[in-house]
Amino acid sequence: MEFQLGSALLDACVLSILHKQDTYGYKLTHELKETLNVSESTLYPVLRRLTKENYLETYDQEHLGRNRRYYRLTEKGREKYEEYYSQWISFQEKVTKIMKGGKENDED
Amino acid sequence: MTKIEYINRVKQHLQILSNEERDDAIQYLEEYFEEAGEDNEQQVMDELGAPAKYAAQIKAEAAIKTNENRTRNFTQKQDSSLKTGLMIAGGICALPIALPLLIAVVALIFAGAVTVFALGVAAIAVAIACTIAGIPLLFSSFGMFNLSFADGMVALGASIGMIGLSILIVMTFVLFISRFVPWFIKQMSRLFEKLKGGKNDEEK
Repeated sequence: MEFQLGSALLDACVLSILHKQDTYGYKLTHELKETLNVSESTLYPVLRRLTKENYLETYDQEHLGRNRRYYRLTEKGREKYEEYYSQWISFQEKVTKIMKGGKENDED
Repeated sequence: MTKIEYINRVKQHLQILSNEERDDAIQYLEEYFEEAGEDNEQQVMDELGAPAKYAAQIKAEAAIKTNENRTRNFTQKQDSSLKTGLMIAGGICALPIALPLLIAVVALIFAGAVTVFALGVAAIAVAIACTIAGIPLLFSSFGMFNLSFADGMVALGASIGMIGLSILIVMTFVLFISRFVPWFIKQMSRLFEKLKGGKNDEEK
C-alpha cells in the first residue's frame, strides 16, 4: 500500500485489536500484518510506548510450559480507542467524499 | 546466525538502556521467537532485520520517552515551591538596590512634573503681564502720536507685540494641555504598569 501508516494510525489499530480482546505480541503483529504493511520489528516499541503512557498494561500467562505476555487496554486506553475511532470515522468519510468527487467527472 | 546469537547481539546494542528496559525488550524478543516456532527462526530474523537496526528502533523509542520525562520533570521543577522560594529570596536580596532606584525614578518624575508646572505658571504670568500692560499701552499709544510720531509708533508696536505674545502663549498653553498631558498620563500609566508587572514576576 502506498498510503503511509503514521504512528497515530498504528496506535489506533493496536488499541482497536486490543479492544476486541487481550492478546500477545506475536499474534498482534500478525493480525496487523494481515492488512497493514508493518514490519515485524516495529511493534515492540509501539507496545512499549503505549504501556508507558498507561494506555496498555501487561500480564503474564503460561502457555504450553512457556510464558506469554498479554497486553490489555486500561481505562485510559479504552477512552483513547473511542477517541481514535470517532476521529477516524469522520476523517475517512471526508477523504472518501473528496476521492469520490473525482469519479463524478466520469459520469458527465 | 542462530536465535541465541541474534538475541545476544540485540542485547549488546541495548547496553545504554536501563536494565528494566533492556530485559523487557529481550523478553519480548525471546517470546516472539518461541511463538514463531523453532522451524521459523531464520524467517523471523530476516523479518526483524539486522540486530543493530532492530535495537536502534527500540533505542529511538526509549530516547523519545526519556526526553519527554525530562521535559516533564523540568516543567514540574519550574512550578515547584523551590523556584518560588528562590524568586522571593532573589526579590528580597534585590530590594536594597531596587528600592532606592525606584525612589530615584519617582523623584525624577516628580521633579520633571514640578519643572513643567513652574514653566507653565511662568508662561501664564508672562501672558497676563503682557495683556495687562499691552492693552492700556495700545490705547495710550494713540495719545502719544500727538506728542511725536516716533513715540506713538514705538508704543503702538510694543503694545501689539505684547498682545501678540500673550495670545501666542495662551495658544501654546492650550495646545500643550490638549496634546502633552494625555500623552504624559499615558506614559506614566505605562511605566506604572511595567513596575507593577515586574513586581508580579518577582513574586511568581
